Amino acid sequence: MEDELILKLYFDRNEDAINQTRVKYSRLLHSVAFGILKNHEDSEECENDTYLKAWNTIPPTRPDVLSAFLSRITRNLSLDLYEKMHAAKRGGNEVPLILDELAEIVPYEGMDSEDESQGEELKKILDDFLSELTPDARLIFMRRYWFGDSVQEVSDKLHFGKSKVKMSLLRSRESLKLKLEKEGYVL
Amino acid sequence: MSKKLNNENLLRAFSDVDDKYIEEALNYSLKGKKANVSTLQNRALIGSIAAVAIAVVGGIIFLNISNKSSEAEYNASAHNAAVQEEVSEMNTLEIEAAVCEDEIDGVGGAPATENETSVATMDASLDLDMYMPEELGNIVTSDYEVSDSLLRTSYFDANGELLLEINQYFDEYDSNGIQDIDDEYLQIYEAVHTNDGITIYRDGDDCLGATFVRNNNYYIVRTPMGVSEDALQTIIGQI
Repeated sequence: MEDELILKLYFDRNEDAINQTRVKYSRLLHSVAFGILKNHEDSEECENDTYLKAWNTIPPTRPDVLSAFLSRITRNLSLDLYEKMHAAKRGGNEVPLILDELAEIVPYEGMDSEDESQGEELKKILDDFLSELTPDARLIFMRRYWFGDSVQEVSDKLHFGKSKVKMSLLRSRESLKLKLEKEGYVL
Repeated sequence: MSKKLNNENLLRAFSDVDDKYIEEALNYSLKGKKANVSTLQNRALIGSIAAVAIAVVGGIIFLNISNKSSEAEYNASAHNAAVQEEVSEMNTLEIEAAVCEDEIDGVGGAPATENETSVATMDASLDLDMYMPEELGNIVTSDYEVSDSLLRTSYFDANGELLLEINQYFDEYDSNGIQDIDDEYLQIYEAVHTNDGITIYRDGDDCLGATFVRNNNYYIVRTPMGVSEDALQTIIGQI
C-alpha cells in the first residue's frame, strides 16, 4: 500500500493502519532494531513499540517520509532499550564498537542529559556534515552509524571492499571531528 | 561558550538527521548498488586513500592524466567489460601539472581522491642509480617505521640502498585509531613485482598503485583504493 494511503488510515484512526505498516515495513524496522540490539526478540519488541508510537503520534504529525519516520522511532527505541540493558556493562553487539569509533570524535563518557537547544544545533551540524560528504561516503557513514551495520555488512550491501569502507569511515569521522570543533564543541 | 559532547549523545543525535539521508541509505541498501555482480565487479570499485604521500627524492612532475577509457575499445567479454567499467569509474580527465622540486613529499599535496587516478613522473636521469628499472626489480627488503602520525615504508635493494620510501601520514588519531590504521596499511602495502618491471602495491586483490620506469621516466601511479589489477594495468597501458 502506498504511504499516502497508510497515512490516511492513521488520520482516519483506522487500526488497519498498524497492520498495513507492519506489512510494508516490518522487515525494515526489525533490521534497524537488530542493527543495534543484535537480538531478534528485543528487536521485535522495539518494532511493536514503534507501531504503537506511530499510532500515538500520527496525527497530528504527518511524516514527509514514512520509512524514515518509522526507522527513526525504531532506532531511538532500540537505543533506549540498549542503554537500559547495558546500563551496568557494555558489550555483546555492534553498539560498543560504534561508540568506540565515535570516541575518536568525542570522548567517551557516560550519557549526559541532552540539552534541547543543543540537539537542534547538533542536528544542523550533522545535516551539514552529511551534505558535504560524497554520496558513497554518506551511504557508508549512514549504514554504519545510523543503521548499526558492521563494516562487513556495509561492504556486502554496498559492494565496496572492506578497506574502502574502513578508510571512508575514518575520513568521515575525522571530518566530523573538525566540524564539531569548528562549531565550538569541546571534544 | 564551549559546548560539551560525548560519543553516546552524538550517536543519539544521529537519529535526527534529515529524512532524505535516511531515505537515501534505505533505498540504496534495498536496491543494492549492483545487481548480479561478477566476481570482478564485486571487488571494490573506487576507494579512498587517507592522506597518502609517496616520498621520492628529486624533482617531480605531478600530473593528473587523462583517462582515455571512454575512448578505448574493449572486446565484448564480460571480463573486459567489467574492467572497463572499473576504469571508467576512475575518470581523471583533467591534466594538471606541478613541479615539486626537492620536495620529499612531492606528491603528498595531491593525494588520493575518491575517484581520481594520479600519476607522478620523475625524470629518471636525475638519479639513475636509484631509479633504473633493473634496480627497481631488485627490491629485496622493506621496512616499516611507525610513529604517532606517520607510517613509513622503505624499500631497499640487495646492497641495502634505499630505493623507495612510501610515507603515509595520519593526523592526530588516538592510539586506538593509529593501531587500526597501521594494521590496515601494513596489509595494503604488499609490493608485487610483475615480469614487465612494474611494481604493484596492493591489499589482497585490491590495488592502490604502481611504480615503473618507462622512457627514462620513473612513474608513480596512485589509484583510488580497491581497484583491480586488471584495471590498474589498463590505466598503466594508457599512460
